[in-house]
Amino acid sequence: MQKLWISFIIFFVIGCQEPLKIGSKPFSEQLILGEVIAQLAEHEGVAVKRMIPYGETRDCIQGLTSGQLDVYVEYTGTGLMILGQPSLHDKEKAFTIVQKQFAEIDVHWQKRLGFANNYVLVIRRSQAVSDGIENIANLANLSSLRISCDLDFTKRPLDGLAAMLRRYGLKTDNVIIEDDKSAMYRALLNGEVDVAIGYSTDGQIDAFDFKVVEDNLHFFPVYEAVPVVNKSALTKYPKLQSTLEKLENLIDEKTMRSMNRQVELEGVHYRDVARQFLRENKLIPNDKKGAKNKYKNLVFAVENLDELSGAAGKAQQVIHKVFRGRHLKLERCASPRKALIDGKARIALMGAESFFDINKVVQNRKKGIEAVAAVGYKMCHVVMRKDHSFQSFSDIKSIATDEKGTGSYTMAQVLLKAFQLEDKVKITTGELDESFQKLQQKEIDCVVLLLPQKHARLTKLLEKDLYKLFSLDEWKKLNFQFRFPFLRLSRIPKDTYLGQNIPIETLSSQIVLAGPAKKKEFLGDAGPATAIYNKAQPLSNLSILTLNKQLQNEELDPILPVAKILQSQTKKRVTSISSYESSLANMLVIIAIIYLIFLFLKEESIDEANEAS
Amino acid sequence: MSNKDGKKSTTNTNPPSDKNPKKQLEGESYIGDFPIVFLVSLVFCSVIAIWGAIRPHQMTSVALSATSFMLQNLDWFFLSMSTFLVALCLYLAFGKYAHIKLGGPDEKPEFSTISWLSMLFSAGMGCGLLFWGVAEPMFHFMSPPTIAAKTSEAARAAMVITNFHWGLHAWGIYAISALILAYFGFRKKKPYLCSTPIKEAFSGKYVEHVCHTTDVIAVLSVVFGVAGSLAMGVLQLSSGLNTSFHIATDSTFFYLGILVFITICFMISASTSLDKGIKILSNLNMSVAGFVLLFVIFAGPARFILEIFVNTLGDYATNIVRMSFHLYPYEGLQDWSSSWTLTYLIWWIAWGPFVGIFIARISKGRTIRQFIIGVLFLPTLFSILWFSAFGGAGFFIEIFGSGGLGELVQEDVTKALFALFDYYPLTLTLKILALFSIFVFLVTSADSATFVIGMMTSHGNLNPSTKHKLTWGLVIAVLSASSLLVGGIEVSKAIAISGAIPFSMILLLQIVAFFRILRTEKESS
Repeated sequence: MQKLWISFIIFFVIGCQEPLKIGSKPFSEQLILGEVIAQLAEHEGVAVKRMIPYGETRDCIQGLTSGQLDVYVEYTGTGLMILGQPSLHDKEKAFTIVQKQFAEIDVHWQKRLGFANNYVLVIRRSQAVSDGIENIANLANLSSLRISCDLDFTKRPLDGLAAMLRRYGLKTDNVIIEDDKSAMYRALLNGEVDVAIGYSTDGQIDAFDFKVVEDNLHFFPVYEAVPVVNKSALTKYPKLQSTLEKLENLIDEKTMRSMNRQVELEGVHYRDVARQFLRENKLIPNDKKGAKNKYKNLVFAVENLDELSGAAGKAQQVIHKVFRGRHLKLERCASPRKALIDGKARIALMGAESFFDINKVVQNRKKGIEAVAAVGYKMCHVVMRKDHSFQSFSDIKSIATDEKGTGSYTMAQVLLKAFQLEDKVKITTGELDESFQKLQQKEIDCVVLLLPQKHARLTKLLEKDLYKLFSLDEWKKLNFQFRFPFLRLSRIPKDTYLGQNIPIETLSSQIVLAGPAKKKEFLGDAGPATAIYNKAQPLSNLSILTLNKQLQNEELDPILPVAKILQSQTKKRVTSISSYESSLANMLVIIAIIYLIFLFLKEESIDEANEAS
Repeated sequence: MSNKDGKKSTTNTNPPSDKNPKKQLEGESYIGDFPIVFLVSLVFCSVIAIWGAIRPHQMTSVALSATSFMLQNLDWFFLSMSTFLVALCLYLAFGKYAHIKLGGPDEKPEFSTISWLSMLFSAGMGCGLLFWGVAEPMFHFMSPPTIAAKTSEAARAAMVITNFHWGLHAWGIYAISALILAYFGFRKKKPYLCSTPIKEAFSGKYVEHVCHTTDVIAVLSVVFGVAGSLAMGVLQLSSGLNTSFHIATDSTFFYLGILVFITICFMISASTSLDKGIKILSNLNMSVAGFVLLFVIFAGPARFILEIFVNTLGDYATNIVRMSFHLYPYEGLQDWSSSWTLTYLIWWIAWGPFVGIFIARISKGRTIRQFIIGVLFLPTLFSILWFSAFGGAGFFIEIFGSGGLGELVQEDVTKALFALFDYYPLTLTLKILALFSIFVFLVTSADSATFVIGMMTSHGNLNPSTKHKLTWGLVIAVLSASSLLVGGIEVSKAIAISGAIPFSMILLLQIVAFFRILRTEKESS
């Protein structure tokens, strides 16, 4: 409404002046930047015509020179390419050249926005940590190098794949060409490739906590983003230049990444992203609608120690896709199960252990949640000092683990129960680094963690070469399979962590996505009666099926309470073909109907009641 | 015929007048000063309310598991009964009885056609349409029976299923319950009670007991049905307030505040006469709802919505016969039909005595044909348009737009409508209008309910005394409050639905009685 008034007023003030024509190229970063300029100009009192998106690079630059377009955002590297100049790594030099040379054809490069959209090499943070990769040159140390990039990159003669490999002296085992950016990052996340070649402003980099490898030999040219304006527009709209100057150095790479992430991964409209950005920088006033659409948030709960480069990231990416149009909000907490049951989260990532009450021996499955898709596995890590002298787990006196409610805490409790140490051993909880410090200072005997293999923080801590993993060989003899059916015997393969020269015998538990389960319903599981309950419904069958399809994982552990749609659809055979209660009810109804027909047909003298009146 | 001298006749079977409410009538039972039905119903209400307050879960599970058993095992009966009622309506509207007037031969309708339609519509669906307008089509679109979700077939099927639930079958139940009472009340000048047809058509020693039971069941199902709806409405209002104004509304204190406010409003409305309170509010509300409807169509994907409307008209007409008999014996989808179709049907039957008596009360002076067209066809047409608009806008967002609405509906049904408005201009205005509309629908429902119960517990007095109305208004308010306090609207809803199962038999008995009398009319005219 307010906007409507403002535009009316603007219309009157400016009269019939032609609006400022703003264009963009057809990808999300350009859409956001175009919209940022448009909204800012509108706020400054310039009437605007949005031509977002306008077309590819060639269309945009042609539009600008021919006057079809007044302003859009171009990259310095692309500018050099248009001029037919060699690409440059030096950003100042590149900017000076394009500024000078374009001025001759009446195209003015304004102040730079503050970020560059360069080619970058992206790797998993866990691998960066475990293999010590900081820059591209380090990649040569890897035993195998599998790269994923788009088709265009393989074909660029000067700054493309072949040139890069030559410059750094790298050998690849496999190159996967993937033009779909999200598929490319997914391959990286799944470990199908070791390196993905993306752009420095890709939202996925932060969303999945990837590491950008440093270009230490300055191989890649620079692509700084700069608004370009045609000369006539500068005279026609005197305010334009000062308006664009407000954006100078305002958008750094991180900001741009997070804006791209919102549009590409979280499904937020680019218009909202642009508005939010301008508001945060106080370039347009903050109205009260800020908190609007809060309920469109889809809250996804994960444990504090879950890493976006691991299972949590994989799950998050899929959830983005399946719940298109919702604003995904990641909620870190100690117990995702509790968040789900309290209705604070709609979907949660948790281990199989969260579905069970470990204090009960029978009927120990917890109610109110159901597993909807398998994401991966987590392993029990029992970490001790390198020089420990424990022969058996029963000898330990104290355990440190993660907060109460987490999978790690449950795991520690399970171990104490199994080894009958409940009265003897105290569990302390605390931050991961703190616990390791205590371990080192001999305040405690071991740290128990239920985490995925190669968990980045854990890997980093184990690198210090002060600790070692303890093998739980004794578990087999304890025969607790039935008491804790969610724990499966497994081994951590050798060389998973630094200095681990033998496989470690341990236990694993499946990591799953879970949603609210149905309560006991009387009038069926859907339908108008459900509104009575006023509680969150389970995830829809369609969403559950697409989640599974997208995750392409193995099936859920059969001991978990699995969503109905995923249960094997074999029909139960009935043993008896009749049910007496049902037959009785049906018989009574039929007798009643026959009696009613009899009443209808019964010839009675015209009713006494009628005659009486 | 006795009704020839209709208007001025003051035979002793006529209802007692306002001035002399305590006048004891022949053949009616009293305990002290109070009619027996009034006392028995009040006692039953208190017993069930106390049980529900002390052991809400036990009570709910007893009531609902009985209902659930009936719905699952007698699905064929409930479906064919509703279909039979629709067929009966068609026969009455176009058969030899079509021209019989509900009232004396010179009787003029008490209300203008527009007021009549908006009053019967407010009483019959009201809140439900706002509640399910977006949600139900989206629900079926996301998980339709036997076809793949989120496809164009799913969208088509969703519209047909939704309109099947809210269309002819729903209004058929209302129309028959209302028609019988209106016939006896206005043409035969008999007291205005659910038991009247039975008393008139049959004779025997058990008739009196059957009549009292009928009346008590009718009173109970109205009281609990309305109390449940009131509690549900309070939840929807607070959810709406939460999404539009970001007030933290999910506290019991807040719920009770809303309830008290609604109670005050409907008590005021109830203490005025029918043609002031309810009529004015209904007209106002239908204008608001009409405006919101038009806005949703024309500020949204208008072409798409109108296409859906025309498309659904065709789909509905071609599928209605199949749907009317469609159970899923081979697919093993009995669960689906009992949780959707049959629950809806039983819902409408549960509301039958209330809406029926109310519609009957306002339909004086219309012929059977006019009555059926007004109560069966026009509301069906309107609800098809309504669902095409709200559901269609939702489909558009899901199919061509940014999506996300379908899963949101699954997450919280009460938010569906407000979430849709976020995609529209003037969001806040729309939300306020919707909230206002829900509020007024609640007030009119509660008001007409007190009116109806007042009539039922004072021997069918057409204008029950204010004291009577306010007593029942208070009972309804206390029941809603207690169900909000124990945290389960389940309680009142459970009773409302359970009451509907015996009531379906009563309805059939009424129909038999009605036709026995109707055939004598044919002979005598």
